[in-house]
Formats: sequence, structure tokens, C-alpha cells
Amino acid sequence: MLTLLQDFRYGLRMLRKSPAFTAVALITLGLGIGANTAIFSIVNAVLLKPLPFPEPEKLLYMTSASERNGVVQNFASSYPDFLDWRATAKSFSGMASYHQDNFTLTGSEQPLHVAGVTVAGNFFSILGTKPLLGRGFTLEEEKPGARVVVLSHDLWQSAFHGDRNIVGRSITLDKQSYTVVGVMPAGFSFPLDAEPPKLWRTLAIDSETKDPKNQPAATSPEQRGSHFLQVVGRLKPDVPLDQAREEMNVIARGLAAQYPDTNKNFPSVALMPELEHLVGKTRPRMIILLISVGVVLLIACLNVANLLLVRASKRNREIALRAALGAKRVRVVRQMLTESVVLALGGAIIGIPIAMWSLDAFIALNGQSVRRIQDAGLDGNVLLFTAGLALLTSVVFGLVPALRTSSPNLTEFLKEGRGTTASGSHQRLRGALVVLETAGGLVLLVVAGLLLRSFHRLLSVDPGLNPRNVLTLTFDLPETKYNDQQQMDFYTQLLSRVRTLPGVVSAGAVTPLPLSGNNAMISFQVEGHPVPKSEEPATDIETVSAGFFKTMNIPLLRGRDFTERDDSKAPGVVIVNEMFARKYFPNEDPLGKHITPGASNGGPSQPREIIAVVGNVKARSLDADDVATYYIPSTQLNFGSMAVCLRTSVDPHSITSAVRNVVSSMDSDLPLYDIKTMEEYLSASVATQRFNAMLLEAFAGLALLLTGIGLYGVIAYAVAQRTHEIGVRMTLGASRSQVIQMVLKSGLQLTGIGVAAGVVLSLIAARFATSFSNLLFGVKPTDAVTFAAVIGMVAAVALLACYIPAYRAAKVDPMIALRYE
Amino acid sequence: MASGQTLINLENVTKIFYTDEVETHALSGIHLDIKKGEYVAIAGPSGCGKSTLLSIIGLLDSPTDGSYILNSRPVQGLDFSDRARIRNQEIGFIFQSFNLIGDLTVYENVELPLTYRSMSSAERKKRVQEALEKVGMAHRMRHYPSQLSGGQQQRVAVARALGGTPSILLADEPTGNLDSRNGEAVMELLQSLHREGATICMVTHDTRFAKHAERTIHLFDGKVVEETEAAQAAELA
Repeated sequence: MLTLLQDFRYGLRMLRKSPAFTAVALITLGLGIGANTAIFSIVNAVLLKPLPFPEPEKLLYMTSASERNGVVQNFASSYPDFLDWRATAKSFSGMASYHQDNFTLTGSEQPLHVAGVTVAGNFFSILGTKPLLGRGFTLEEEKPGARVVVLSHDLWQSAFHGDRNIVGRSITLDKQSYTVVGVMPAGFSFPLDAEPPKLWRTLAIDSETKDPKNQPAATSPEQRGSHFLQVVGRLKPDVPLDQAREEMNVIARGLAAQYPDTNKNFPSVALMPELEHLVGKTRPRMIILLISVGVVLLIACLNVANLLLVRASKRNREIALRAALGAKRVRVVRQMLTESVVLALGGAIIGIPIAMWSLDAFIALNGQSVRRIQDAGLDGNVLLFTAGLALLTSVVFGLVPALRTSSPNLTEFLKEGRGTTASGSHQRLRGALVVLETAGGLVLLVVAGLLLRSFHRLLSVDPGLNPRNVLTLTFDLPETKYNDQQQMDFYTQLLSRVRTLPGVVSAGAVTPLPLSGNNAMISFQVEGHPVPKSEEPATDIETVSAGFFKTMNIPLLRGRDFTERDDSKAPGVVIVNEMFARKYFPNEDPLGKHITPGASNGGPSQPREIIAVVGNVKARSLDADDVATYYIPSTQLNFGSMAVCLRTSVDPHSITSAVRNVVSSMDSDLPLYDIKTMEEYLSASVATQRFNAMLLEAFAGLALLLTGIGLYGVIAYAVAQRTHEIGVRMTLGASRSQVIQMVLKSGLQLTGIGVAAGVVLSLIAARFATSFSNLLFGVKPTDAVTFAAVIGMVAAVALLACYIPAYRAAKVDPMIALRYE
Repeated sequence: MASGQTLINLENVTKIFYTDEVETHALSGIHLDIKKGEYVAIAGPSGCGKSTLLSIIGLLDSPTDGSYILNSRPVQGLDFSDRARIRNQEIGFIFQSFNLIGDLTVYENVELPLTYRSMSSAERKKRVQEALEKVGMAHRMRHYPSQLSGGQQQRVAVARALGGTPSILLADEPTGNLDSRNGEAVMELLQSLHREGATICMVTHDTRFAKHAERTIHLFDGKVVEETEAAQAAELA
């Protein structure tokens, strides 16, 4: 232990003696360890940290599974299916439904838009989190008429000033009175895959009678085909997942047999751990980021190993002396490794602030694309990882130089004045390290380049609409105040008034808004092609107002646009997109044909005439295939809240207050929310790709920088070693340009070997990354442009890295040839 | 052997080194003529300016003052690349420590100065072989310097100097790193080259070797203090 301390102290002293070496090594390691710590803290928060509920591994996310044409798709559940699952399944201690809702909270100075969730009565008991105040819900409170609500800590603080007597008080949501029964603790949030809800209410309101048959809405047969519910279940302690999965599939098959019209296509139930549901799709991307940042650290290690080899060649006499005095090889290796550990720990200390800064930047860059990333931080796990990484790093970069140095040629190095020449094997090893660095850097650059090209390809995709100068905003019309017809009339009046505002070119309304992340699918019958209900095709539907297509610049290819005259009294009409026309009316003119959507505002669905064909819109995402979509006038089918869209001749956000005034003049209790431009939606829709591309670019840039530094170090050292030789060459008549060429050649030879190896590895890596996580869009893993650009970039950096020492070599005084050793 | 035609003419050459605020006069008012085919030795004690004079003659350094005419051409004001070209074509260097490049074979070492000219590889090969045969080292052309004795290495260095058929051979203490037997052998090699017409300027501090030259110039404190012809030198010895 004492000798270890001695080694440690000696290591510190040696590092102090070479401040330039120590600074470069510490910064290099700090960058590598810092980047790894930052990414690990993200991985830790996103993938590894358990969900903040008791026994979170028992929480399962459940969906109806449909199989069509051999393709399995997961769908949200319906109320009748959920109620049957819950009543029948024995593998679960509980099962609860939830779906997101928007509310308007009134009663204080300003009406407030509140994002909330409508949940089953056993929702909180399944999650297992105790309320801070009051209680959760009961199953009794699912029954019609119950109006109870649980507040989030955030809403309790902001809207009710943390009033500890809030439990039992009434609040007004959507013009209805609700009793507060509880307040959840700070940090509690569920569902976790959406904006944190501000409150929860029970599904009682969904259970209330709506249909003429006097059947509770939640259980009516019509509702069995309406898939919008999410379901979370808690497994019983002694039930394995496979057993629960089998039981649920039996139940699903039973329902399919009992209700073939609605359930024939849903013969099974998909169960997955809640954490998997939340971040499962993120895992491959996280693993690729971890590998990438690991390559950066490897390059940093190779750089430091190179520096250590240079330093080792200068310390050969010291090591020879130690050996001559009786130090065993293992003792010398330990001494050298101790110095490496000191360096690595120093690198870790520098890396921590770098990690903190990087983490803030990554989180800011992320936007909403990676869930749970906001929880990332440098906790105990992360610090332990960093310490472990530092120790591992010290072995990676320190072992080879230590082994190399620990067996010197004693007679050679103890001769005075001969101890400073690097051996040929040292130089070959250092060259090999640079080749490895170049190859690793090239791999990262290729992957980053492919992602960047993908990202630009994605941005160049025509979304089918013109997002420039379009403002969108939303508000909720409470059903208690506005029936379907009144809601439709409200939007018609509002649109006619906002169209007269200065700066507004046109206006329309839509739900769901393209590129907002929401979509609705409803089945339909095609006139002349009757099929059983269970075999009805289903595809995307949107309700839109007159003027929507004009506002979004969606081209009307044939037929006529909707007008205000297409109201609930007029014959039913529908507009389809090109993909719909091609898919369902191949080789036919769809105009004048009829389809019957499975949706209506009460009463049986009526056939609708196709009056126009519009261009395809990338409504789901820019990288998705075109989807057949049909549009129904919002004056004939009310889907609830709509996004109002305004094309402006001025800065879109500048007209927000004018629109707010118009809405307020029609109803003062309607807060506006989701006030965003279409360009913001478009930007958010590619946030994930942007995050991946930018992060990998940052790592690749760092790798390139470190590779350049490594190459510079090797060439500069070689030039220093060859000063005498260069002097001789110049004495013999070599011109400066010939000396520069000679040095550049040696550097570029190393680069060339590294590039060749890197190209092969890049092809493998790009294929792996593509198959592993479907990262690329519109770009092949073998994209020649990317490879050429990256090779050019690496060559340019190599040229620069070699030119500086080459230029220095050309300045060697040929007189040196006359100076004797 | 001298033809009477002046190959090298130094007039009033001085060389001053400046270090911080100290001026060191390495050479003062040197006048020196070397005729084609002549064998001249520059002798003197350590620090007398021999190597500085040789570096100026070899265009490795420039005089602070004075003029230098090489082969009828003033060369004291040439830029770096012109001097490199003239060194390559007109001057053959033989060093005390041989200065062979360890990573190159004997053949490649001798070829090296020729690679700095635009010369075909066939021509280079011919010249290298001739040079190596002249010094008796053709049989070792694939060896590396580390596989040769000191005397052999210096022979290779002489071959390298000869390969470019220079106007003059500049030898800087060519026997300094050799034992007496090998030293004598190298001296005999230079003597035979001189007999074949080579112009040689040799720096040495050893009077035993200076006697091989036709004329010896004695330097002391950067000045020429004496010039002796071969016969005189023999008498003095």
C-alpha cells in the first residue's frame, strides 16, 4: 500500500514535470470521458431508471392486436373490450383505462386550459402512488353522475396556491362542477408518454347515456369498434408474463367470436412492460449513441497512448536505470499504470463539468423527441460509471505503453546520449494507433454523414402542404354548453370573422391537425363493394372546414372544395386524397362515387358523395408513406375541438392576440392553447432525426479533431526524430518542397491505410445501424456522396495535421548535418 | 593535377554569429582560391572556424560579408532553393559521422541526391552502380548501413558524394569516426579520386591526414594564418 502511494505521488510529480503533455492528455481524456458520462446519464435516465411506481416491472401496457395480411398492428382498446378484459382476467391485480382530455378550468380570474386524463376508478390504486392529500378514485366513481377530480401538485400550486383545504372543494371544469378528492405528490405523472397531466377525472362522463337506445355510452355495442383507450394493468405477484399473455389472448379470441363485426380483426392482446412501451423504440438509438461516444473515447485513449509512447521513449533511460537497480518488470508496469490511473482520474474530474454542460445542451437539443431525458443528471450511478470508465480508460491507454517501456535494452539506454531515439517498433506501434484512430473517426463521420444526408432528404420531402406563414391554435368548446350543431356553427362564425382580420389571407379548421402527432382512423364502406363489417377497410379521416385546403395550400386536383353550404342539412359529401382514389378506385374516376364512413353525429351513417380529389399530405410524418385519407366537412360531422389554421401575410404569431379577441368576444371562457405555426409542427416532427444527426455530428467532429491531433502528434514527433536525417537530405540538395512532400507522404500513407480500414468498417457499421434502428431515410448505407465527402474531410484534416510538422521540417537548418552526435 | 581554372573564389569573407548581445567573429577576411582538380586541406585547432568555412563553401551557410564565386558564378546572395539546387549538382559532401540514412539501403542512400534531380531511374541506377564500384562497395548495395563497418559506411558516403558527379567534394573530418586503418583507407580512396581528377576540399585537425592534400590552409581564430604546399608540409612534418 505504501509503495502504491509512493507510485501515486511519483506519478503526480512526473505529470507536473511535463505540463504540456499532461494538459493535452487531460483535455483529451476529459472530452472523451465527459461525452461518455453525458450520454450514459441520458441512457441511465431513459432506459435504466425504473419507473417511479412501486414494483414498476409489474405494470403492463395493453393493446388490442390486429392482424391483417400477415402484419400485426397494435391498436388502442375500446370501452366495452376494456370492461370485458377487466371483468374476466385473473392474472392481474387490477387493470385501468385512461385517455387524454382537455379541459377549461374556470372560476378564477382567467379561464385556464388544462391537459388532463379521464381514467378508470382503480387507476391510482394500480399505479400504487399514494396521493399527497385526500384519496384516489373508487370504482363506484366510474358510474354515471360522478364528478370527482384529483389534481396534480403543479395545478394545485399554480391555480389553488397550494391550499391544503382543497380536498372536498368544488371546481368548474367545462362548465361542470367537480369535487376535488385528492392531490398527487410533486413529480407524479401518468401517462408518461405525453405532456404531464394537470388533473385526472373518472370515466363516469364517458359512461353517461348518449344514444337513443338508452344504453350507457361506454358499453354500447357501437362503441366496441371505437378504439381510443389506453390500458395499464398490474400483474399479480406470482403470475408470469407469458401466462397473463396467454390468458388475455383467450379472452380476446372469445370476444372476437362473440362480436365478429367489431372484434374479428382483434384476436389477441399485446402486453408489454410499461417501461418498454415508453422507451422501447428509443433503445436502438440510445445504443447507437453509446457505441458512437464509446468510439470517441477509444480515439481519445489511442491519442493518449500515443502521447505516452512518445513520453516513454524519452523515459527509457529512467526505466532502464530502475531495471538496472533491480526493479522487476511488474513493478515498472505498476508504476506506469499508476501514472495512467492518475491521468484518467484527472480526465474524469475535467470530464464531469464537460458532461454537465453537454447534458444541458443535449436536453435542450432534444425537445420532446426522447422521453424521460429531462430526468437525466449526474447521480450516484452516473458518477460510479464515470469512475469505472476512468479506471478502464487508464488500462486501455496505459497498458501497452507500460508493457513496451518496461523491458528496455539496458546496455543501449544506459549509454550517455543515446536514450532519446524512439525504436522502430515504437514508431510502428504509434503509426498503427493512428491508423486505428483514423478508421474509428471515419466510421463515426460516415454514420453521422449518412444521418445528416437522411435528415436533409427528410427536410426536402414535400409535405403536401405549405407550412410557411400558417398559424394554428386550438380551444375546447364544452359539450355541456355547445351541442354538436352549436359547435359546428361556432367554428363557421369564428372562421368568417377571423378571415376579415388584417394580415389574414385565408382561414380554415381541421381535426386532427396534420403533423401534430395525432391521427384518427375510421372504417368505411365503398359503394358497390359491400363487405362484412369486420372486413371494412379503415384509413385516416380528417374533418375540415371550408377554406382549409386553400389555407394549407393543399392542391385541389379535381372537383370542388367544401363550402359553408355543405352543412348538416345538405347531402353528405367527402373529399379524398390521391392515394385514396388510387387505392380504392383503381382505374376509375372516384368523383360522384359514394363511401359510407363509420362515423356520424348520432343515427346511422349515410353514404357520402366524393366531390373532389386533393393532393397527398404527409400528415403522420415526413418519412411515412402516403396514406389514403378522406376529408369530411366539419359542418356535417363534429369531431370536437378543431385546430384553427390561418394563412397570414404577416408574421403569423403577430395576429394571435387579434384572434384571441375574436374568440373571447364569442365566448370569454375559451382559453387558446397549442398556438404554434405549421413550421413549428414540421420542425417538431423531425426532432428525433435532428437530435440523432446533431449528436452524432458532434461526436464525429470530436473524433475528427482528436484524430487530427493524434496524426499531428505522430508526424510532429517523427519529424523531431528525423531532424538530423532531414538536415542530411537538405545538405544533399533536397528542396524545401521535396522535404514537405516527404513528410506529407508519410502522414498521408498512415491516413490512407486508416481510411481504407475505415471505409470497410463504415460499410459494416452503416448497414448495422440501418438494420438495427431504421435510421436512414432516402439514403443507402453505401451512399457514395457521403463516403466521398467524409474521405475528403478526413484527408483535408490529415493534410492540415501533417502540413504543420512538414512545414517545420522544411525549416530545418541543413547545417545540422555537420553537427556530430 | 590542378587545371589552373579557379573553381572556388572567396574574397574577404567574414562570418559573424550573433547570440543575444554577443558577436562572435567565426571568420575574418578570408581569401581563398581553389582550382579545379586541386586537393586542399583546411586545418586548424578546434573552434578555429574550419567547419564554418566548409559550410560557407558548401552553401550551407552564407557569409556575413565578402564575396563567393563558385564555378564563375557569384553565389553568396542566392535564395534557399537555388542554393539547394547548386549543392545537389555541384557539391558532394562527405561527413565525419557518414550521415547515411538508416532506413535506406546502401543503393538507396547513394541514389538519394539523384532523386532530387529530374533524372531517369535507368540513369540513376547506372550512376549508383558506377559510384559504388569506384569505392568498392557494389557488392553491398542491398545492405543497410547498420550492417556495415564504419569504414564501409564512409565508403558508401563517398559513393553518395560521387554519384552526382559534383564539381567539388567537401569532406568534413572524413576519418574522425574511424580507426586508423580505416582512416588511412578512406584517405587513399580520396587520393585516388583526386588522381582521377576530382577537386577535393577537406577539413581536418589531424596533420597526418592533411599531408595527403596538395595544399593546406591553416586557420586560427577565424583567419588564414598560413598556407603550405605538399612538399613544405612534408618538410614540416
